[in-house]
Amino acid sequence: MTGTAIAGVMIPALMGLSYLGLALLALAKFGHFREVFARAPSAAQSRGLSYAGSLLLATVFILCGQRFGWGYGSLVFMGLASLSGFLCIMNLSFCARLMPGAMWVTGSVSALLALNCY
Amino acid sequence: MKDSFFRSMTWLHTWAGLLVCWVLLLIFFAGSLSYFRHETSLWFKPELHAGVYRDYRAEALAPQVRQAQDYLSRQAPGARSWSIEFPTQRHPYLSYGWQKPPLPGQRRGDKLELAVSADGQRVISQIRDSRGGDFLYRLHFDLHYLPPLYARYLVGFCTLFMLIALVSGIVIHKRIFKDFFSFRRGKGNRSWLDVHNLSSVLALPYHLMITYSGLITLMFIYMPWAIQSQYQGDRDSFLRELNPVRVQLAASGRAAPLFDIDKLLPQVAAHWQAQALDKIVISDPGDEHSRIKVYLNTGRSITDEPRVMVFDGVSGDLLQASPEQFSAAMSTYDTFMALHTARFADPMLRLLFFCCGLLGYAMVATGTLMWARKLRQQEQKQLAKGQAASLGLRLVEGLNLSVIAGLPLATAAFFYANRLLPPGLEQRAQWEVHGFFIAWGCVALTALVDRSVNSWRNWLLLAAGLWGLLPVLNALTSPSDLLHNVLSRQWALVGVDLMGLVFGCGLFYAATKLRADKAVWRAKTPVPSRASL
Amino acid sequence: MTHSPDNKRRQGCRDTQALAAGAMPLVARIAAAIFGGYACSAVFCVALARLLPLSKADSTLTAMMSSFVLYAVAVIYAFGATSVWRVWGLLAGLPLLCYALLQLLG
Repeated sequence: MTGTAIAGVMIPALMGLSYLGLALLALAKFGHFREVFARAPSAAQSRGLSYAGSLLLATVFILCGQRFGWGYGSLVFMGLASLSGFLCIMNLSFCARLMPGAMWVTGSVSALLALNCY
Repeated sequence: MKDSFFRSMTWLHTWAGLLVCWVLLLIFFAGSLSYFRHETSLWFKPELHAGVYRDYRAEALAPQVRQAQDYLSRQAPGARSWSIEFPTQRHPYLSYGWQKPPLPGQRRGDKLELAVSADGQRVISQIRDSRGGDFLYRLHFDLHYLPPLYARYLVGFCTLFMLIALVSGIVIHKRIFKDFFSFRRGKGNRSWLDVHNLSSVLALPYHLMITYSGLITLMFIYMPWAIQSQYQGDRDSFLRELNPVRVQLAASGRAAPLFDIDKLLPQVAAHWQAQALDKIVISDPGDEHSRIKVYLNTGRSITDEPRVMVFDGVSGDLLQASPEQFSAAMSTYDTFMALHTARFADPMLRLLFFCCGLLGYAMVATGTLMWARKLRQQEQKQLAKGQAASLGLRLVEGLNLSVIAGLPLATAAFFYANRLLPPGLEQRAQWEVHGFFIAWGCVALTALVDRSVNSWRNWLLLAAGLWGLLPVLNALTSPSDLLHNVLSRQWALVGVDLMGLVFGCGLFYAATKLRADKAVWRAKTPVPSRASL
Repeated sequence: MTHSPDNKRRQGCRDTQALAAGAMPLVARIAAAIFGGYACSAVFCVALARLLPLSKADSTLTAMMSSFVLYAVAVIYAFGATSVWRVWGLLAGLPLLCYALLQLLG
């Protein structure tokens, strides 16, 4: 893929991955898990979700740093995290039940796109 | 102060925020739009939307510079400075310009900029006089109708209070991570608080950065004492020590022919490894003390300091070049400046900065709207009995309406004034700006008498309509419309039109949401026309 | 203000109305925060510029950039500390003391 094409695909991929990471962190919380799955999470599930979310966000940060340079990449990461955080929150407030589906779709598409670029 | 530190911080957060929130709303709004300052300025000059020279080509630099020097020496031989600006991403046209001598009462003369036509043969000189994005940029720290120094002191005062509000806000929002994703809809004050927390926390690094770096951009005014003690107040020698290219030399008054600038280009290319150039500025052309300054296009590196090579205008000798590396302190300062202005950012990152700026606007707006709600709820009993609202309530609600609904409307009026005022109008640029303030004044005047939900809805709908129709206005009043701009890849212009559509939709959505709130208030207040958010 | 019982004061603006009864301490804190804070950060700026082991330009720059942190801290302290006398003592006394010291150092 050409340079600009990679950049064009990379951003949505990174955004999708950070959305997924933040969604996992959200689901780790008792109230949001219950909103989405109509049952309480166990302690292990909560911990697992929060580790998975943090790990994914760390991965996105590293990918941003490698792709754009660490200075520029940190800024891109923070901007993407804010924007996907906002989408996550809108998702939770307006259509919480659709969240798992949205997570699967964005997760797989973003992972595929990201793998394609590396 | 209070029985606990927490309660004191809550008090401090509320009052530090309330005291300055309306000025902060202006700063955030104008500042966020300033991220697209050059794009806006380009949109404001429809004469440049088609048929201008847009490509940067290294091999074409020499002939362009020769042509420029030739043109400028014929058109503006006595100017204070000349400029040749090459096409860059944010300034997508080649231009020649000069600085006119100052009129009586002016400190510096106005700058005139003319674009080169697409075939490179003609110079487009009939460009309408407009400040464009520069007005919005200056508005956010120089305000307007105020002497700049006082305005900057006021803005600095407000910025400090913003910093205090942020820090106290962080202290009182103990459950930052617990409540991070919470947004409970339809729950009155709780919902507003959630939006306030959301807009603050989602962009918290940005808010802290923009506030602190804002103080730093004007720190020479706010904290000059170190310069006083170390340099006896000589700011110029301090700046020269930091970056040696900032040497200024007054004109000698003795004439001397200007060196051929294109002969310097090989040396420039060798020094900067053939990286793209931004512009060339010649100060005091034709004078013995003239200087030729060649500026590098620093692209995406996070820096705000210009990278310049300064040549003697008569002999062509290299006098100074920007240092390769700055000291740690200077790099830190440079990074702060760069992060605040975001001049280095490419369009995508710039858009993220812009969204964060608008989140800042939302943060301050939700804060003050919550306060108005609280005041109204406290006065429920008196209002139900038919008593007039207190001065505090009227003031807060009136300012809220004037600023939160008025700013988007005034900005839309500014954009429309640019296209609707005749191009040959005397003092055209000032009248566009007056249009901004006249529109704002109209909203403020009606807010004196009518602060009801209806008033909010009407103004928001009007603003939504104006913004939403911006692409139509552009199509009707410029040689190129949205479709043509997409096809010719003039993304700056596409961006402005799209921003209009997005603002229009957002304002329309806000206006429709108000109807729902109105029903809630009608149930509680027997005088519905005086209900508010 | 520091003497009224806690359970009577709930909302921000009722607090302020109650504060008007004991307005002096509040005005004192505001004055200390704004003016004392500025004095502290200004003197800190000069002191740091003098004392940092960097080049003259670098230490001046660093001093100016860091001074705002101190201003913010001073304001938070002015409103967070329990005793108004201590607040004034520190925010007025410290700059005077440091200024005197700097004058002595030359």
